[in-house]
Amino acid sequence: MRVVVASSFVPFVHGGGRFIVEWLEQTLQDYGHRVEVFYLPFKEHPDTLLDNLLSYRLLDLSQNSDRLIAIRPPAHSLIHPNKVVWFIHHLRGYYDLAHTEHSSIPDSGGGRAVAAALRRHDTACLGEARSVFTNSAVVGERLRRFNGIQSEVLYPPLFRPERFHCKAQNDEIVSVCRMENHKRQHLLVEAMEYVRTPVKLRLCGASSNASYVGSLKGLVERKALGDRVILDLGWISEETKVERVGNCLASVYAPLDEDSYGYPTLEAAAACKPTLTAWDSGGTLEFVRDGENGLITEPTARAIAAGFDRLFSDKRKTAAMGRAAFDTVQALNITWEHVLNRLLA
Amino acid sequence: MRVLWLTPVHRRSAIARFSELVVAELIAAGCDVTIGATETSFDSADRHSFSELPIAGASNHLANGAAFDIIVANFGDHYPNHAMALGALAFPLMIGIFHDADMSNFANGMRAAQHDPIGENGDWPVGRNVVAAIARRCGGAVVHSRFYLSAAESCDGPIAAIPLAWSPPRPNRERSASGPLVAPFRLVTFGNINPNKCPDRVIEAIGASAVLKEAVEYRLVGAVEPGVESSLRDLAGRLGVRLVVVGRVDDPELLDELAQAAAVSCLREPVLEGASASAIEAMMQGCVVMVSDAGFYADLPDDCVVKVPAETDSSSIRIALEKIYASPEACAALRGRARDYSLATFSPAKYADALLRLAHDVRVASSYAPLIDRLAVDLAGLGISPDSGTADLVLGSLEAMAPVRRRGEMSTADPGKPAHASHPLAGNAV
Repeated sequence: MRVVVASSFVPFVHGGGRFIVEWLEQTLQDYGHRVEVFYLPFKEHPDTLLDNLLSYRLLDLSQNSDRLIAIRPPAHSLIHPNKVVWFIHHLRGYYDLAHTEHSSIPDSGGGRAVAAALRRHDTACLGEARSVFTNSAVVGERLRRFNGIQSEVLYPPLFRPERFHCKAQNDEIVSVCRMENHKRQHLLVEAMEYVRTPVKLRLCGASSNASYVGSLKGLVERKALGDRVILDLGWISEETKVERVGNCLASVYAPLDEDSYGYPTLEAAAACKPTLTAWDSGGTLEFVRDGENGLITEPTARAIAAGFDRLFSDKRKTAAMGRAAFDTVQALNITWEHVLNRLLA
Repeated sequence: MRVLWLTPVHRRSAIARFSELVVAELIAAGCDVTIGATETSFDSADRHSFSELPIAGASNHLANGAAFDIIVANFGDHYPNHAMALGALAFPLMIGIFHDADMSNFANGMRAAQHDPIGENGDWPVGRNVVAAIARRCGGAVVHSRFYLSAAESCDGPIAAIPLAWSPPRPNRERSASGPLVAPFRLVTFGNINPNKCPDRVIEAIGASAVLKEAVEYRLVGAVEPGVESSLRDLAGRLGVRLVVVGRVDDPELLDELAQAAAVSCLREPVLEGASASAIEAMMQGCVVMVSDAGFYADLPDDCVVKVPAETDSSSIRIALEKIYASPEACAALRGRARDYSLATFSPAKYADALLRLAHDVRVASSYAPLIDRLAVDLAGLGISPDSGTADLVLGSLEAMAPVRRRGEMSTADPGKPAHASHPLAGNAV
């Protein structure tokens, strides 16, 4: 099949939104399909949002292709007779996060009107698709609530998860993801002030927010946690990641209301490591079951600290939860074979 | 949704009563409604209740107009009642509700006040052109009957014809199913009694028929100018018609009059109003309503009212009245249909629902206005003609995204309108 994969991107910003495209491209090719990938720039500022949407509508990607798979919004705006959408998130600043610190929409009639225009646009464009899939039940529920669109959950797998394996069990709880305010690495650092065991925390990742990284460094310094909190700042290689996760005690991923379970959760599971998350972390709760394949705590420093201590104090239990996490991947059918079957159906 | 509702609020205003009904439904639908009074002199002691909402002058709220999701401004043909609504025209997220098809009196009031927010190069609009002149500055427009929809089409935004919302107070006494409660045969004209309501022609019609002259008592219920009253009394006296000038009454008294009426005359010549609260109220009360077959009244179903040809001459009125008098059983059936139709059609809940849908369209369309402005300039700058395939692709894509429609020519620039208004895209269909 000749497949066009289209997604939006922000130049020089890498993350899960790109991985899913690159890994899908590679897997489609592995299964013998011909693939063209289109990354289209997109700015979501209210002043130019609708211009950007119109520019997507004017592109014709239907030439010579049997199927369009649209991923990051507003790629679903593209027109194609065989459009399938793998919807990974809304432009949340215009939806559930409107008029919060995460939104740039003016709190005015005009600002809210742009949000209404986007919602109408999204609903119409998603309605054109032959199928709509989401990366989590959380996102699917938002589609139902905001757009009246029914969808099917299609969990994004890791690319070649066999790269990950459990090598050892050291004293570190690792966090491998971009360092951003909503990923709440600051909460993890604050938790380390309250731990009672010799457990350590390693934060790995790049950031587009220098002030947030600065605040994390300052926090470590102020709390005198330099010997127990390790900051691996910057983008780490895949090899390093495999190494860090494979040797750790457990993974921690406790963002605020995330759209999906997040690749960190899946990478940990691939290496037979459990994940600690918080009850308000959103999509992680579709994967993590408290006490079975990870821990779910209150989103507070003290509660997370208690979770860290539990993971350290009972390493046998922690290892067992890691093996259960590995099994959860299969139980949820998080495989590329399943993904391709559904996207190309 | 945050709604700023601009309306006259005083007790005698029918538009205030309409507003009160719709606002209650908007609140029930979850809207956060603020009321702004549009009278030139607003008396807070003489107001409709509006669910006990606080009421301030319209200009107080318009100072913060951009904070609202939609501003709804009511326009009727009486400048002192609606003057302050004109301030809403400065805001894009705004819907004008036009209660009258002809707003000449409003324009006269503006002229007298030397207030000209809608004049075109010093030319004062008249008649339906007043509606058009105001509508072209609205983000969306509502009319209450399709007969003057064309006047609202100057609006670039979404427009809609929504039947007026009305709900009568509960009558003091129930009408009997078969006819009037008391003899003689009472015919009522109510409201502000003026020549437009054709009372002279009704008297001539009764006077020209021996049967009607014998049976009918013609009652004028409402304020009437002394000169008009005098000439009507003279005419009735000459023709031997029993005329009772009841004068101004309060609501319970009016309901009593309607309950005892054999028929109600809602004749108009010419038809100026967008919808007639009088006719609707009479229908809701289960009256036999006689109307001129024109404007709003022409849209009423033929089997719910008695229609007189649009010219509304006295011989046609006589024929209609004789038919009503001679057919009590048919009239009883008509009353039932009129009541059912009016209650279902002129429902405040339906009105609010339609208005909210329109408001959503206005909000979306207004968001696209800056984009359309830029496109109009860009396409013209590239030398792309409106009928080219490229323009069609761009405009077709926009039409699929927003409630906009093509109109006119890109080259027909209008200095009084924003750039997008002279573009082939503007507004949307009803």
